[in-house]
Amino acid sequence: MHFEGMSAMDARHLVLAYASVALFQGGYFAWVVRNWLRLKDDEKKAAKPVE
Amino acid sequence: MESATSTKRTSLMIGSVWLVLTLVVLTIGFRQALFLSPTDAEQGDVGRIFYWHVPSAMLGLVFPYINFVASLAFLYLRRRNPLAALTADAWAVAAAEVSVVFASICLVTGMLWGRAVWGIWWTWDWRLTSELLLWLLYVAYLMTRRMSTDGQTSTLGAIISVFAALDVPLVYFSIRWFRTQHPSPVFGGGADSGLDPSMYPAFLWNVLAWLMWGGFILAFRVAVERRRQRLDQLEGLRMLESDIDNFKLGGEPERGNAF
Repeated sequence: MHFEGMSAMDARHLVLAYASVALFQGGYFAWVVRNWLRLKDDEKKAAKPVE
Repeated sequence: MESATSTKRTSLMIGSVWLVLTLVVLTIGFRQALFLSPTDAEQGDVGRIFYWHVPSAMLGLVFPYINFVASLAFLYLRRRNPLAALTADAWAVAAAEVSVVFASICLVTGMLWGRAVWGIWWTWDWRLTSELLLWLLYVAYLMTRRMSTDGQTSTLGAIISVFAALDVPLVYFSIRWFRTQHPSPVFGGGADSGLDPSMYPAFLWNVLAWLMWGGFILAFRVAVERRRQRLDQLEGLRMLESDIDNFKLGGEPERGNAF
């Protein structure tokens, strides 16, 4: 691949397409990890006996 | 208890190895797509969007069927075996979310590609419109699940999912039945269809990479949903115990919405 600068529409759109893939998949992965960690904490709290 | 801990540890180990392998295959796919596959003679470098757009479009039509099968299983099991129905429901919601992610990528990369090649961002062509409809149906499914409070959320979602799955064949066959703006099928589309042999390595590595990623994220999301369901059950049980204690003491039962 030979980029001729980001002013060319095809180079710009290719980079944007790749960025959108990373954003959607990375964003969803981050959201799932966040929920996993949050639920892990909740599970620990729930395991403690109620006084 | 020890067996549950050991199962958890094994799942975590398998998940970690799978993630590492997926990242390796994703890197190979990325390198193949950007640096090793030849530049398209007509489209130039923007033609490389193909290697993300097509695998995402393909997987965006596979995951809805996981959601469909899981939803049917939920509807069948919900009165016969409620615990198995909960597992089916976890698969259904996870598959719907993964479907939305892949369909979103398909739509966005398609628009970026279309603007550079056709000169337009969007047109109400059969393929584009049916894909947008599919995306809207799964977004509606997820919003219904999130916002419904009547205790029948999963059942309502499962019914929507059955209708959403009907759109999948329409998306797939739209470019075979109606010849409009979207290019004709690359595979199985007649004598002129097919890929140049030099494009196969990049294409196949990317299909494998995104399939592995999709499988990983689906399994991970199912595990998170199962954990959430267990916590809900625990909370429900605690409220029930507290109601029974209050009742024994002669007080009023606490009102909650855990059930």
